[in-house]
Amino acid sequence: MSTPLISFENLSVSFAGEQGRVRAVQQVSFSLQPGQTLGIVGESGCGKSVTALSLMGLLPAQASRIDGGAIRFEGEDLLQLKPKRMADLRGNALAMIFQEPMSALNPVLTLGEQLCEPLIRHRGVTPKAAWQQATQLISDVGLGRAESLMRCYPHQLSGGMLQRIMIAMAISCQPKLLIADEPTTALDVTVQAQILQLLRERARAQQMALMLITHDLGVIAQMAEQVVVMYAGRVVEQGPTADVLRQPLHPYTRGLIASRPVPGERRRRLWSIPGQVPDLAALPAGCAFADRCDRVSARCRSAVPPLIGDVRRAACFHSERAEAQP
Amino acid sequence: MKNFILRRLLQTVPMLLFASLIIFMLFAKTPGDFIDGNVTLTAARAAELKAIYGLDRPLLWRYLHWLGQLLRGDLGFSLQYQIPVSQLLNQYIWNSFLLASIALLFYWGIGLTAGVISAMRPGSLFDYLLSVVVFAAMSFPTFFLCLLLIKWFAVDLHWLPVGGMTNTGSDETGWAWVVQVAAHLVLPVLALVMLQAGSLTRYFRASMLDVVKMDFIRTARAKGLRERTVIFRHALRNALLPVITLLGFELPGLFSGAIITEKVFNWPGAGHIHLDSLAARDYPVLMGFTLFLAVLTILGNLLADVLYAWADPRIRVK
Amino acid sequence: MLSTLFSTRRLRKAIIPTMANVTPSPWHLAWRALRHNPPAMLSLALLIIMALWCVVGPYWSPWQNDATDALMVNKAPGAAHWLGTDFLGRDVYTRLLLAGRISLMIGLMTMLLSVALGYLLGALAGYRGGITDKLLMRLADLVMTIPSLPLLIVAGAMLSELDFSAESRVYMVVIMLSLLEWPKLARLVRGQILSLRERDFMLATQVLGLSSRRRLFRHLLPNTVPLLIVMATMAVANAILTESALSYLGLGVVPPTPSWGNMMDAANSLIDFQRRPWLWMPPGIAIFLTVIAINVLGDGLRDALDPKMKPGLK
Repeated sequence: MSTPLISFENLSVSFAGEQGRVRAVQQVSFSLQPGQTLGIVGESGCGKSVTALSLMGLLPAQASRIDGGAIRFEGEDLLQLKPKRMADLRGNALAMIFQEPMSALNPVLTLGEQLCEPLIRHRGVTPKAAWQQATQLISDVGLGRAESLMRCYPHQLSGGMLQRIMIAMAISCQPKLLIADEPTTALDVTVQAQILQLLRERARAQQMALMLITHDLGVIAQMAEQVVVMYAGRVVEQGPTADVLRQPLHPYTRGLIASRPVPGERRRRLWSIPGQVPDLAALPAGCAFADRCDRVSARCRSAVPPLIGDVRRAACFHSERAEAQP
Repeated sequence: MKNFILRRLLQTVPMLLFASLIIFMLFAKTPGDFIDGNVTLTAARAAELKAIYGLDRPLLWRYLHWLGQLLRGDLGFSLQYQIPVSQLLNQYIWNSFLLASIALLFYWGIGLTAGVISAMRPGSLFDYLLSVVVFAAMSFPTFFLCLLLIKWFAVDLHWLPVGGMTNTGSDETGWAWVVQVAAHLVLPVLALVMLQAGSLTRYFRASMLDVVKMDFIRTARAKGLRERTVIFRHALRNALLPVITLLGFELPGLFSGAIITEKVFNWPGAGHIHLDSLAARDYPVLMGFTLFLAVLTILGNLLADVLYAWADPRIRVK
Repeated sequence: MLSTLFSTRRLRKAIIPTMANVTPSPWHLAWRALRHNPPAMLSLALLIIMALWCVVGPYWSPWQNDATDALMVNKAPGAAHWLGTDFLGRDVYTRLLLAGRISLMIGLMTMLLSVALGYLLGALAGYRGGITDKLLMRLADLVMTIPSLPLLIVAGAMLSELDFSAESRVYMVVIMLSLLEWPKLARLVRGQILSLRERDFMLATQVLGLSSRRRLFRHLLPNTVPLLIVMATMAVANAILTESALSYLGLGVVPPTPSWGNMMDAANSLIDFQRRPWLWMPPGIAIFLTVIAINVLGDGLRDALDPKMKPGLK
């Protein structure tokens, strides 16, 4: 197997909270190959955004703390890098787009000015050349009238158009990895499809790895080759998307899939996973899913199940595979 | 933009009229006037003078007369100094302007710098100390601070002159005069700066703190921009938006003269004249000056709005 | 939301048992936050002590305010007279406390009047909108256009001419100050009401079909209380500063009624200024301490009542 582009090794991140430390991410390990599309799925608060922000070095410095682990980019541990070196990588080899395009752009600068910034900073081009390249980028992401858009301000565009601009900005320096944190959650459904399509195209054209963070299984099914399922700060399942969705090993994944409404099927009541996500500041000693699981046993409450497997991994004492092996 | 300004100016006309009416009524209704203040006059002579100055005419007539004068650009005639009000103001207003503008440069500079630095390091020792200083500065009564400064630096230490704009009886010109004025400027400017820099710092710090939390700052960092660029090009430009309107509101202050500071430091400015005319009941001066300030206030508000529209494209590009 | 204060807390706890001990009301949260703010608590304590001292202190002092003593004129601070005596032989310390009563009272009363006026008119303008709003805001603008200190000075001079009694003069000062302060407060309240009106929770009350009265008094207005509290503290500080400036100029509270401001008028005589700092420094320090305590407390209150989350978790 070739060297993974990105490799998370037992990453743990916590935040200072009012009632103690909030363990947002615990012992997260997974890797991403060059050019691969990986999806991270889980509900709000499961730690998927924090994982991505840790990679980019964008966690709030004062409140957050890396408790352990490493994040390797082409072998180099990003967590050990000096801030300056990290800044050189950001926007350059590593790029990220966020959920709310309406607020993610500086309202007092034109789109052109903001598009040119990464080009000038990382590629050292002159402002004039950057302006031309940026104009071309706008066309590349499927927007017309590129010249006049360059002179527009963010508030003049719709959410979908702004997200395209964000993508243009992110891919301007040909990054090896693009992280998209819930890129379509704030957009209309029709626009969602277009944006996802755009992401797929660009990733293929530029041979870029794509890390897609979402709570929507449908998006995962559509886009991701590999999927990582997170719950309460831990990875609970991982594997090729088609396999995981068809035959989930972890009860949580099964719950997620089962709670999706199926078109054409009539039910009196939509099913949902019983119970609530535990408070991340007061996690139980054992498996965090224990209170909501239908297969829970005493063993589940005493220790945190490790993530076992190779191509397909699951963190459950009662996963299908474990039961299959006597 | 032009239409906007024109429209606003038109709207201010009725406001000005009302203001002028209130100002006039207030002063005209106050018992006692300049002539009454002069005890050496006989009753007959007083009556004569009143007739000459039109002080015995009915209120409405006097108001309209005054209004008419104003529209011709005539602010009135000082009864005490026997010169046109505009001339009187012209003599003193520029001294106030000198004091106020120098102080403005300093306290805006200090306020912005301190605000930015403390916002970038919230909770640090600098931030904490700055808060203490800011609170102290905001809580001092103006006149008390001025008195303390005079006592310590002028009276006890003899470092700086006690008051006035130049040394008494001095006749210097050219560079020597500039040096003298500069020496006399130090304490009053220090007082004004100490009093005003505090609130500006807090205001700016709060604005900066708000901006730094916003999404687009995270985007700027995600683009790998240098921290310096993030702060100055992205954060500062946005944090300045609400603060820039304050510049407009400073306009009246530049000419009105800091009444209390000028009194305590004996600075020959507009504030000094103000108090002087008040004591002497020289109403033409008071009325003209107050109206002038009202005009400046309105213009200042307009300037604030214009500045905001110019700075914020969300308002400008409609 | 603060409106939950007025809802049935017990019922809420009964229905959602897990919430019984987990969610304190916003008032509790605010008080807790304030308690953890040492400077603010210190300021609160200081203010309470000062107020009590000024009210009760003079009764303990052996010197009466108007007790003049020709033999003890202009004495420096000593064992008998803690802060010395003034030109009439009056004990400065006692006079300081009595002046404190007046200055603090003026501060409080001005705050009450101007905040009441400002809140009422601002809320009216914000809630009604339309003509009411336009008229009221024009009026507020008008008052704000006229420079306040000159106006107060003129009014003060007028009061001297009209020869009010010492008692009523104090009340007149309060009225003067309040009439000039209310526009700023009204604008603040109006702004907040306008933005609150558009918020989703107000839309929810409309959808629920609640009566206008209920919406106003149980949902909209309670959410303006934090702003009100902060405004009130700032108003007191402002009033105390303005009154002292006016009194210093001889146009606010005039002798023989003592006020911290007019006690400092002693600084106008050169000898007193240079040689007898005990005459004019203590009142100045008193004003300074009071105002800084109010400002720190007000700031602490604003932080405590602000529901925005601290940076850390999204």
